[in-house]
Amino acid sequence: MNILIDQILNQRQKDTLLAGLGRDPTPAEVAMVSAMWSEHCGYTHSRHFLKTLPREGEHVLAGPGENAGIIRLHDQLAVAFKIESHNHPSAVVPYQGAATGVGGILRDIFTMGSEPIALMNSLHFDIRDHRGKWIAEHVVDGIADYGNCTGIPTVGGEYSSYPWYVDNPLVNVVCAGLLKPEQVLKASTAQVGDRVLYFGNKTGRDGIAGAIFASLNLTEATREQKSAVQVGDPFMGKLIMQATLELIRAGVPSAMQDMGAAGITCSTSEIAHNSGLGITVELDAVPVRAPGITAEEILLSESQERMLATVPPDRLAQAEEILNRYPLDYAWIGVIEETPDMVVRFQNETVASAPLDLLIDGCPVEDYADLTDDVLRAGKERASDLSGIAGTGRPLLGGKPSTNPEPPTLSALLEVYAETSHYASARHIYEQFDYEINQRTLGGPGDDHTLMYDAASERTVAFTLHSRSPWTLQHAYRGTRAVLAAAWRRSIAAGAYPLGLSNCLNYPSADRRETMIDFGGTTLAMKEFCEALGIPVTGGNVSFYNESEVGAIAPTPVFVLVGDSVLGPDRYRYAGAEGQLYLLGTPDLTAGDVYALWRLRQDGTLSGATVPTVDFAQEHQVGQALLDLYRAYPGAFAMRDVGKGGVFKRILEQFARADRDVVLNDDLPAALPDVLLGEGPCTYLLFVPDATTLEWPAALQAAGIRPLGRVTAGDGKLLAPAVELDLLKYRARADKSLEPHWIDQLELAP
Amino acid sequence: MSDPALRIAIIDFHGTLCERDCAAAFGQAAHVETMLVSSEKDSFSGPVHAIVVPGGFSYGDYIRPGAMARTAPITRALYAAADAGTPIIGICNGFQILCEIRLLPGVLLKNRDGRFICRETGLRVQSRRSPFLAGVKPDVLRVPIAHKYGQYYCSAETLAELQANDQIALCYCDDEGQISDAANPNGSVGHIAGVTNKAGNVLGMMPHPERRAMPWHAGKDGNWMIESVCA
Repeated sequence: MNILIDQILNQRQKDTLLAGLGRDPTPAEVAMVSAMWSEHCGYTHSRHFLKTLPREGEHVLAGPGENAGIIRLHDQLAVAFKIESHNHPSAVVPYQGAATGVGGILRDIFTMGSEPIALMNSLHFDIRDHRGKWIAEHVVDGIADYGNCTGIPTVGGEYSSYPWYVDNPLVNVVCAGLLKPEQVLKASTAQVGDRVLYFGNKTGRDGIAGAIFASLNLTEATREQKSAVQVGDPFMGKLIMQATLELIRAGVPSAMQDMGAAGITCSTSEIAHNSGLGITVELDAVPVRAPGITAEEILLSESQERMLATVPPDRLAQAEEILNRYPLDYAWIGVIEETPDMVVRFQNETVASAPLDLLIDGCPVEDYADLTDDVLRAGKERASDLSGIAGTGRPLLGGKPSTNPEPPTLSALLEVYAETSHYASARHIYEQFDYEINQRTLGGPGDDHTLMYDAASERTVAFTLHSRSPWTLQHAYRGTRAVLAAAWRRSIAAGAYPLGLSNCLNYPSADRRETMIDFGGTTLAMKEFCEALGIPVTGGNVSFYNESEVGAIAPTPVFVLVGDSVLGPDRYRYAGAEGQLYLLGTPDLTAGDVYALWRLRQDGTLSGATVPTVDFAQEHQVGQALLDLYRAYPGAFAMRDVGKGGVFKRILEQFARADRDVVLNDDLPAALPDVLLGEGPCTYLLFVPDATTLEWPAALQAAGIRPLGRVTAGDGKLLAPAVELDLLKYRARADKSLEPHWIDQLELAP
Repeated sequence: MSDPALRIAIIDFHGTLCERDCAAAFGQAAHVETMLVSSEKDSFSGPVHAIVVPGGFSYGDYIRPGAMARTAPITRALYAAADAGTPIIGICNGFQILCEIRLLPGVLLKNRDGRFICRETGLRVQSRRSPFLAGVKPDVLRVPIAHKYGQYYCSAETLAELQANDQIALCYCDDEGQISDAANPNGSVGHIAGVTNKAGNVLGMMPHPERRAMPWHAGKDGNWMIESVCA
């Protein structure tokens, strides 16, 4: 037994377990503890930092610790939303890894009683070689097949390709759902005597965590059938979604939790512990599909599409009546107890009996008291020295190595713009997703903003998803502040004051101090952002260990903001009008990602690149003024935040037409490359059609809003002092989508 | 309470996804009542004015799209309604199902490039024999597709028959209404987006008219078809 413990638990965990139990643990207990005390369930490395984040707020109906965060948008409507990573499975088996990621995030949302209305994704690859393209293509295919088959539209997302994602793609998936504020069902409201209901798929040996699996007593049969890869079944996912929502609407369950990481162990222990109670689980009752499966395997199986609910004794028949109408398995596998222990029985024996306090809160966590706010703010500067970062140190494909490159010319920068996949239309990705099903999509992929319409309340929900790895790589703390400000601007442009923040924090190995300085820097920046703007953190996900022999990923925090948008079906949509362009803020070329890509192509570094220094109070002031402007002139003008690809990308997407020219003024606020391709704090681009007369509020005048140029009759040119660009040519290249980058020379094996 | 003038049945298989979209879109007019009918039923329990077989992934597309639906009890009611001349429309997976149960000729193969495609397409109305198309005034509609298995295929003899019998209802076209390979998103034979049975009362189409129908939709071309059958 001791040998077994040594293989699975570290010394500190072992001591804690032995002290907590006062005896040697059983194999089942070791299995449960190993899962519950892992980084994924126990947040062993991240808890120190995450506990500092503000999570309270008048709009919060459910926060961290629940399956998903829930925000009250207005009296009639609440939104549940969450983002989660499926990076490691997607690196190994891209199709299934991505598909099961979608299945898992969907379950988190409908488990809370909300009806999923939108999926999104944040995808980051290194597509320079065949393997990278193969991963990208199959990740998209997996997301598409699962999402499309469940009938939830995939309405937005972001994509990047950087060298630091070689070997370690990032696949983060978002789901959001709507519900009435009074309909929230939590995982913490079980009562003594409630029966424990299991329904959905049968339990098999798939998805049993590799390290634990290899350390337990394995039977011959187990070895032959072992698989650490979960397999998704979207049809079953759709059925359990329907069944779950029907059970909740009928008021049957007292609490609900989906079975994700660590399967039955995590869901049963957490539902009891979060309710302040205990639980007895009868493993013999669990529907299984593998003969001879052991207690430890049942406890740790991560078979997909399984749900757990607690049901009061007088509701059992009603639960069965509903579930009998669906072709899925269900079973009563236990009971909620007064004593706060987790007792597991298998084949007439008690195989585990441990206090839930020990199992869940007893998890020894790392302490980083020495990483003070000052240490985190100082952080690590990385622009010119990217050693240890995967895939860097050599120029990107097609670039020429250079130790002392001249400052880039506009044409060199536009060449980068035209040739990398970043600014190509993402049509190749999003056309594989059904983004219009359920009739709610007001702004989908390819549109300016991600907007979902609720016909019952005649209100619009805005979703913003944002990450910027070149910034967070240069400096985690300052980079994260800049990413959050950029996400804020995107939400403002979508007409919404953000009411809640969710996050997916993708980092390299937590065992290195450098990683934890970056991680702490990111959480400190989040704390400052949330406190300054009054936005609570409603949930999140941490993914460490995104590294391999070739190096580590860039720290990549991905943020989701949700808000009640002032934009509706009558919002302004550009249809060829002439008008005036206005610019807020002063873009800086070196802060933009076009510069970063140019530099990576030159010498594989980010030398000379900068991170915008942002002031949240100033962003707040400008953002509020812009929302007021939207309210004052509904449907009269267009606004975009100036983000990836700068002003140029926005001009290209909106105004590149055969019958229009974009003529920039002579007195530009900065050099042309800065104006066209840079970024900066409080930067927005507005278009006011000639038919609209606007009076700028004092706050925007104070913020320095200025005319940038005109959209006027012409033939598809951008005209600036001494420069003429053929917009239609660049537009045609962007419209070719990602296919030249992804598909050329790629064999599409099934 | 007086009975509504028109009852439209919307068939719901396990895995059907667009039943609520169709109910919302087809039920917009005050004189129309839509009702969801489970595929486990073998009748509509009362007269129906028209039947919608909506899109989705019935039975998870196992075996092949629409194939499992053949075993559902509701198919008996569908055969009877088709024989009686009731207007029937199959949309997307509904089209696949109507082909699988042989109410419509041909089959739907995987798209030409093997991938799911969600995109607005131009549709040229080639025949107005279906009650869903009789009242459509424009010759070109803008309606989106969303499918992985939408490449319509039939033998050369069947195609000739379809042409001879005026069974080709809708073809993919570009913005100007021109039918071409470039405007054909999935490689369908004859650029076919929708066909009818010989009698004309059963229509199958891959594009989704219910996604261009609601007051908040930027395009509303789908309403031509809805208003046509509800007139």
